[in-house]
Amino acid sequence: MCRYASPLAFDSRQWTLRDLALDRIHIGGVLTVSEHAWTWTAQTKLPSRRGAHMACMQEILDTLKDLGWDGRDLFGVEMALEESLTNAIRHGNSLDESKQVEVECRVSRERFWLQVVDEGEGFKPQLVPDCTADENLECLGGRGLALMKAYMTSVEYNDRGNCVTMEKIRSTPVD
Amino acid sequence: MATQRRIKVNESGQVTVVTFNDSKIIDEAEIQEFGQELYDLVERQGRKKIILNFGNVEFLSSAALGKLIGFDKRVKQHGAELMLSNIRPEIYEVFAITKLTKLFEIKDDEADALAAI
Repeated sequence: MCRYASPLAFDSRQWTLRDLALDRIHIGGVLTVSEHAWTWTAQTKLPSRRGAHMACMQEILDTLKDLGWDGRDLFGVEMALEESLTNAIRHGNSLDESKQVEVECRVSRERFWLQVVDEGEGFKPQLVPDCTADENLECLGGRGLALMKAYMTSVEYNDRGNCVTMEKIRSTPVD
Repeated sequence: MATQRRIKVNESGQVTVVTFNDSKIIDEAEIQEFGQELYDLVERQGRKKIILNFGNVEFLSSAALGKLIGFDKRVKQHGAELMLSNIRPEIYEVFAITKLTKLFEIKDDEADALAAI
C-alpha cells in the first residue's frame, strides 16, 4: 500500500511490488475478475489539490517504460492517467482538500489497468455532450472522456459515476 | 509588453509565429499562463495573423485543448487569423480524436502556414 500526502513527499519505495498469478479484484460490490499475471501493482490516496497526481502518474509511466512500453501505447496511458486523475480531483472532488482520490493501478508488459474513485456525487457519462459533434466542437467539456475511450481498450463507470475503471491491452507486440 | 514565460513570439513579416516553451502542456497553472499569454497577443497587442508552431510539444491535456479553443474564439472575435503547424503525429491524433482538426486550420510545417495565412 502506498500512502503519501503530497507529490513532494512522494517516495517510490513506498509502492507495493508483488507478482500475482491470478488476480481477483472486489471493489464496491462489483466483482471484476482479471486473470492476468501483473508485474507491478500500487494503491494510493491523493489529496484533491491541483497537480497532486503528478508524482503518482510519473511513477506509473516510469514503471511501464521499464516494462518496455513506448510510443502510442505509452502516450495513451499518459493521456488516460492525466484525464482521469484530473477529472477526479477537479470535477469529482471539486478541489476540496478534505476529500481524497483513491487510485489503484496494475501493470504488466502486456496490460495496464487503472481504477480511480473520488468522493464526489458522481456523474452520468452518457449525459456529457459528444464533444466531437459539429455543434459541440467549441464546448468546454467532454474531451477528456473522448480521449480516454479512444486510447483505452475499455473504460467503465460505476452507476453512481464516481469510479472509473479502465484497461489497455498493449498493441505493440511483446517479444 | 508582458513577460512571456510559456511561449516565444517571433515576427515573420506581418505574421506572428508562436512556439511553446514546454514540451508537456499539462500543469494547470501553466495552462492558465499559456492561455493568458496567447489571449494577450490578440486582445492587448492586436496581432492579426498568428501561427502556433507545435514543434516542441510532445504532450497536451484536454485542459490545454480547451484553452486553445478559447484562444480560437478570441482570434475570431478580433477578426484575426490562426493556423497551427508542425504538429507531431501523436499530438495530431489528439486533435483528430476530438475532431478539432475541423475547428483549426492545420499545416504540415511553418513554411506552409506562412504561405497560406
